[in-house]
Amino acid sequence: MNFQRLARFTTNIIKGAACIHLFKEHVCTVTMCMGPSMLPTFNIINDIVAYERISPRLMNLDTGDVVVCISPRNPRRAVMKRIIGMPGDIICTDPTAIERTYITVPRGHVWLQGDNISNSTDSREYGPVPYALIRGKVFARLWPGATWIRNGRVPIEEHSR
Amino acid sequence: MLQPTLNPDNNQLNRDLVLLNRLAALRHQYQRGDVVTLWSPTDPTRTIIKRIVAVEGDYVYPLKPHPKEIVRIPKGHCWIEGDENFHSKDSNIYGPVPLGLITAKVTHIVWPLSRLGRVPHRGRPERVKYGAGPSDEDEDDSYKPNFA
Repeated sequence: MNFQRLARFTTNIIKGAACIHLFKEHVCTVTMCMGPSMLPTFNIINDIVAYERISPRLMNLDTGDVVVCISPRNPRRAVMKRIIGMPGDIICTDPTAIERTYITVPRGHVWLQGDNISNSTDSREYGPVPYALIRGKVFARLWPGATWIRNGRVPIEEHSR
Repeated sequence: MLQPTLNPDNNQLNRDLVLLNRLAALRHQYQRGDVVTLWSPTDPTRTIIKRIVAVEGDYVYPLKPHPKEIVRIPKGHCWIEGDENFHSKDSNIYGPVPLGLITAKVTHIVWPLSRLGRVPHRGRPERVKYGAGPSDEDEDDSYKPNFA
């Protein structure tokens, strides 16, 4: 009798863990991010953000979205950047350079940049990033100061006003 | 396209079944000659299956569509090729690929039973020069894919 209860208890725990894992892997995850590359939007250290895994799978991303992506330099690290260019967009590789060069973002790739342009290792260094490396779209900051993170794109007409 | 190692029939009627090792992909440690599945760098909805020809720090003399004479594989990347590189869309077209795209290592052929066993090994192509592993210089060697 006692053994039966124990067995039921353990199976329930395993089921719960499997559910949590599936939810984290396919729906939504919470993670802590650090680094100066997204500075005006996120702090250098101890920010807790939530990102969802559904939009990248449905190809629902657009320029201006903040995404979590596996670093092309190191497969064990994830980075958080903003999408600047989608496939087919013509973008300036480095606006701070004296001689500007423009490239077309190749098929199946995106151009990622941090918000803190002066201190960010991003597509300006390692070029366009394959879309399949994107893990999820950041939609909220939980701590400090819980807010929704919306698409930060500003149309040119509004910007110049 | 890993013919003739997998799917040696050109008609797509009999397809091979293979066994994948996903734990190997969690550790991200691959050897030259490993057959892996990865997300296609050009089409994120597709999975492709290729052989790792060179790992970070190695030198490769790429084949025709690639514009460079010699390529050093940057940090965190590898050079993948099909086994018949005259009709394979591989690193000779889009350059070195990040290791993060790799989802699993192909270890065994399961079906058809006549070819049951480990995935056949292939020797080093003469176009590959083994390097001394990654170094700090790799930071400058950026990932710049080339598309026609």
